[in-house]
Amino acid sequence: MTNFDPNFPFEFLFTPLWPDAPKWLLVVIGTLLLATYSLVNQLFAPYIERKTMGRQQKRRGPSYVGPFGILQIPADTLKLLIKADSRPAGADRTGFFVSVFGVTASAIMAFAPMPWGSNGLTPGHLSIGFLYVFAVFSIFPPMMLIGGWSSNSKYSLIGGFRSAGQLIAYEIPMLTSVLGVIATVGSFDLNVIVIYQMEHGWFLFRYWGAGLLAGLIFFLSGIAETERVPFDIPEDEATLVMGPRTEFASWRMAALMMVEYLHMWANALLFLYFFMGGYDFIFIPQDGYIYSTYPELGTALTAIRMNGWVQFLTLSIKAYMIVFIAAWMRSALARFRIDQFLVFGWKYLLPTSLGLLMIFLIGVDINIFGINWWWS
Amino acid sequence: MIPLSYFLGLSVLMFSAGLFGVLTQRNAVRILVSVEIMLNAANVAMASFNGVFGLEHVEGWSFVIIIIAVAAAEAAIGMAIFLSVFRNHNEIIVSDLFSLGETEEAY
Amino acid sequence: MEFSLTLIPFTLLAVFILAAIYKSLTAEKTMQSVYWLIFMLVAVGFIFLLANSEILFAYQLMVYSGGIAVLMLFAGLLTEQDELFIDSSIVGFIKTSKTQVLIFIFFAIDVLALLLSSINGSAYEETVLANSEYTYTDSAHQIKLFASYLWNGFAEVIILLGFLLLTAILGSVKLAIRETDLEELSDEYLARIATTSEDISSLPGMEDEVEV
Repeated sequence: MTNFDPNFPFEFLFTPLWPDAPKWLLVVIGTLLLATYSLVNQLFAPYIERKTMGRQQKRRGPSYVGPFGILQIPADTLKLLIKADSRPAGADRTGFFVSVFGVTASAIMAFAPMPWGSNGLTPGHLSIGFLYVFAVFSIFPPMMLIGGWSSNSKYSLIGGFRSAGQLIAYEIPMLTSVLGVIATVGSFDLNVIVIYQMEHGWFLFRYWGAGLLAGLIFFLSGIAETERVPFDIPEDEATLVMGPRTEFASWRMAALMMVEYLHMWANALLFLYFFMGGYDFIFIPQDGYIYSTYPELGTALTAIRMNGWVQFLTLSIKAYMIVFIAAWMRSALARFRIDQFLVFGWKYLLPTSLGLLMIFLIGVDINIFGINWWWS
Repeated sequence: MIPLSYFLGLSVLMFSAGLFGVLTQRNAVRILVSVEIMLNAANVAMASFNGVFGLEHVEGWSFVIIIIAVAAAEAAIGMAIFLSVFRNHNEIIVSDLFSLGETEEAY
Repeated sequence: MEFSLTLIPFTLLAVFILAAIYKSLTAEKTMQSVYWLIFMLVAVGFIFLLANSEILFAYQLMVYSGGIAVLMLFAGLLTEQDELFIDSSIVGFIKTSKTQVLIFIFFAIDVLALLLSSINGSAYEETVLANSEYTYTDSAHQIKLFASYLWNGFAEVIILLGFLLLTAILGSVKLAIRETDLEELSDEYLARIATTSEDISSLPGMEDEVEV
C-alpha cells in the first residue's frame, strides 16, 4: 500500500508485443506467472531430493510414473487430494482448520518481495523486503502449536511444543546473522542487496571469512526452520509419529508437505540473495581488478549479467543446487537430540552471529547515538 | 483512502472490548489476553495518526515499538507468574486465590 | 467523501477483528481464547499495512504473533484447568448477564461519543486535517528516517528497553524453573546419565560411541 508505484513483472516481455497494455493486466499476469512458477517448482524439488537420496543409498528413486519418474510427485499430490478427509474425534474444529490454512497462506505469501531479475521481475515491491518475509515466516510456530493442540493427540501436542521451541530458538540467529549484510547495504530490499553484491562482490567471500561463517549460520538456521533432517526433532518418526502433523490427512497432508518444500525453497532463495549474489551468475565484482583492467570484457559481462533470462535461469539453478545440498544432508546425517539442539542454537549460534555482526559493522558507515564512529 | 475516523472507531471498539474483558474474566490468562487487546487498540490509534501526518513524521511508530517491547516483557513475566502460581496452588482463577504463601491449604 | 477500494479490505479486517475479540472473550477453553487472540493480532498487522506503516506490520507479526503469542499459548497449555468445574462459567456469565453487556455498550457509546465530539470540533480540523497528507513516494526513506530517529532521539529509551527485556528474560526463567529442573542440570544427574549411557553402549549393536 505504501509504495504506490507497483512494478510490472514481465513488462519487458509484454511491451514489444502489446505496447498499450493496461497496467493492472500486467500486474495480474506477472504476479500469477511468478506465483505459479514458485508453486510448480515445489512439485520438482521433492523429485530432485528423492532421486539424490536414492542414488546415495544405491537405489534408483522414483522411476515409474512418467519419463525418469518425473511425474511421481504430481501423482502423489493428486492421490492425496482425492483421498477422504478425516478429523480425529474431540478435535477442535476451528484450530484444526485454521492452523493448516494459516501455515499454507503464510508460506505462499513469503514469496512476494523476492526478485527473479533486476528489471522489475518482482511480484510485490515492499520497502521492508526481508523483514516482510521474516514476519510472515514467524506466523508458523504458533500455528503449528495450535494445530498440535487441536488434533487432540499426545504426539501432536508434544510435537507442537517442540516445533514452537525450535522455530523460536532458530529465528533469532537467522535474523542476527544477516543484520551485518543489511547494515552494509543500508536497505531491506532484496533487489538492492543483490545489486550491491554485483558491484562489490558476494558477501560469502567478504569480511575476512566472517561472511562465510555468517552464511553457514544462516544456512543451518534455515534448515532448522524448515524442520528437516538433521533438525527434524518435531516430527521424530521413531517416538512421535509425525509430530504436529500426525492427525492431518488427505489435502491437509498435501498442503503441509508443500509448505515444507516452500519453506526450504524460500530459505534457499534468501540464502542466495544475502550471501551468493542472488541472480548474479559469476563472482566478479564490478569495482574490482578485472573490470578496471579489461573494460571490454567488463562491458560484455555486464550485458550478460543484466539479461533477464540469464538472471531467471541462474536463480533457479542455484536454488536447485541448494535443494541438492539439503537432500545430501538429509541422507547423510542423523537426528539431533532436542536439548543438544536447543543448546547449539542458544549458546553457540546466537553469540557467534552477534560477534560476526560486530565484525561486519567495522566496515560500515554507521551513526549510532549521534556519534559518527571512527571507522566510518 | 480510508478516513482517520474509521481507524479511531475500530480502536475505540477494541479498547472497550478489552476493558470489558479485564473487568469480567476470571482466568488470569484470559485477563492477560484482554490486556493485549487493549494494547493493540492503542497501537492501531497511534499507527493511524502517524500514517496521516505524512512522510516526515515517525514518532507514532516509536511509541508503537516501545509498547510492543513492553508488552513482550509483560507477557513473559505474566506467563512465569501464572506458571508458578498454578504449580503452588493448582488454581488459576484469580478470585479464588487468597493466600500469598507457597503451599498452604487455605481452602 | 469519495469511495476507495482500500475500504473493502479495511471493513473486512475490522469485522474480523471484532468477531475474533468476541470469540476470544466468550470461548469455552483458555486455548481457544488465546488462538482467537492470535488471529486478531495478525489482522491488526494487516490494519497497520493499510495505515501506511509497513514496518509496524513486520514488528507486529514478528514480536506479537510470533513471540508473545507463543508465550500466551504456553501459558494457556501449562495452566490448563478443566473449566467445567468452575461453578459460574464465564461463557454463560457473559452471554446471559444483561448488565454486563449493558456495561460494555455504555463504555463503547461513551468513548465513541467522546471521539465523535472531538472529531467534529474545530480544533481537530485545524490540527489533524490541516496537516494530513497522503503522499506515496519513497517509503524506504521513511524507514531510514525512523532508524535514525530511534537511535538518536530515542537512544536512552532503547537502552532502557533492552535492560527491561533482559530483566524480563532472567526473571521469568527464575520464576518458571522448578527444583527438579535444576536437579536435571546438576553434576550428579549428568553423571548418572553418563553411567546409564555407558550401560547402553555395552549392549550388542551399540559399540559405537554414544555421546553424552
